[in-house]
Amino acid sequence: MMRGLLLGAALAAVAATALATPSGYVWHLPPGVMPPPVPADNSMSDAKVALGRRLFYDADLSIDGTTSCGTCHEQHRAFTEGNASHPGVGGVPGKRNVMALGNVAYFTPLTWADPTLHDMETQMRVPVLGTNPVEMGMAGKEDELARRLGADDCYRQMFQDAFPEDKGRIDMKTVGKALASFERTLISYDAPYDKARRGDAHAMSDAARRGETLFSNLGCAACHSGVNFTDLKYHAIGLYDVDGKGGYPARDRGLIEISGKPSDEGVLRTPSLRNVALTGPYMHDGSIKNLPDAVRGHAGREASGLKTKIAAMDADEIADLVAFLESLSDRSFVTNPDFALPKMACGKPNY
Amino acid sequence: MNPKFLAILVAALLVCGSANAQEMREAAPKCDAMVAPPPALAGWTATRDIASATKVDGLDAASLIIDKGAKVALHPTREVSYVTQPDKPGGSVAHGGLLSVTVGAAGTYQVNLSSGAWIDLLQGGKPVLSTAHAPGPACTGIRKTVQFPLQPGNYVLQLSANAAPDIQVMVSRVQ
Repeated sequence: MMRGLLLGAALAAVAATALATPSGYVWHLPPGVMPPPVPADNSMSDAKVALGRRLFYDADLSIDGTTSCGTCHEQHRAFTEGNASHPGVGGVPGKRNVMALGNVAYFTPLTWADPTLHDMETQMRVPVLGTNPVEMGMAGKEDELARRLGADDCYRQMFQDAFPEDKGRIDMKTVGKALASFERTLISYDAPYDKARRGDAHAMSDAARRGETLFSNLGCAACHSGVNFTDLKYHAIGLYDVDGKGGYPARDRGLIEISGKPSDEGVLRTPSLRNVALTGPYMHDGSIKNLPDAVRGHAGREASGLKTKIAAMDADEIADLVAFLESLSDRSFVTNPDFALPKMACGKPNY
Repeated sequence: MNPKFLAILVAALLVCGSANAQEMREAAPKCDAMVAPPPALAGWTATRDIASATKVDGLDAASLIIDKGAKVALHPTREVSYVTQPDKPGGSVAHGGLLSVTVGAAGTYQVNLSSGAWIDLLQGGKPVLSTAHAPGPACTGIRKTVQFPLQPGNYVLQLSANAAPDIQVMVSRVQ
């Protein structure tokens, strides 16, 4: 799916791409990037995106009003946060490292280890309503969420504008559709790597170019493949071996928790490497603090051959590989005011 | 990566990181009993009760004293007129408020909180960038600490996204 997104030299000279959809929504995309897939029952609109953006930063989506989506997904960290995992409301210990949201609209399945999660419209139920672990704590409180939002004149108007066919109904379905619409706009294809692909010979340093070659030669792209550097498939990299058989700590055993298959012990979906230099700590449990150690953390199972290759890398090669990973950092993405906490809503300060 | 771009990006992230360097999200430790804070934070336990202000006009009656703890009554989020938009605004069911702090001598100061509430420290209406954050000493009741380099003058401490209607606060001198 990812392979077709960059169309190549014919579009390289185009400064930007504006593509209008049948619904009238206009995508503003870097040159050569095609819009992400959008479900037929949730066409894009400016009203939905604006509503979803406000909801994304609204802590009323949590039971005690302390936690919004943006609490864990901070823009300056490419919509991750700087801790290993994020406790839920009331201090309930978190489980997994917060995943980045750049280009999430192109990803399926979603999250670290749940192959049933394909739908951004309903994925929000995991943090908002989930209990394993509790994140925002609204399980069984869906009506309360609608009540809170409905008590705000501006929200009532925004839901009416976004969902006229539903007469502005406020419920988990429309909240999910609006959040998904905003999240689909979180597109990040303007890193030095992308600029180099578009012909800017000075966008990447020599070290980054050497690192790109290493990335290829080591076989990193076997999993971190395509324009988003993820094959969206599940793999075990052997980060742990608590029992001599590749076992993972009981606190998080990966895909086996969903599938029940012993072969899924420690199996997790390949994360995208877009903006990876901004998204530490690393791995599914945030157990590795920096990129050099994250590279070494892929030593994995001997059968993959990667262990030997990584062990043979010297410090300069690690530095080159890290320089390449840093070239995937998209400054315009992490500073774009269109993705930030909205300062205004319905013409008034949003606070 | 272009070295110049990398330098700009790193600088931008350092600034952002400083401005936002207060996400105190480690789960609180389990404590069989509370313990006294270290001497530098001894004022934490000698609390007085004050009510936070809902707007700038009420700040005269909502003053913190350096190195003296205070149990602060907060207000529902929508009753608070913040000076500037908090980076992490609370929901309507959360609580917040405004406090004033007067600093007499330049130095590093630490805001100590009993919860993970969000704080913005303002001077002249603009946020002061924090330089460090850490959990408080275990089992002292201090959940979160954030440090700021301050010059003499008057500051406004904005509190937001607090679950409970009250919070214990102390601003302490570090050096």
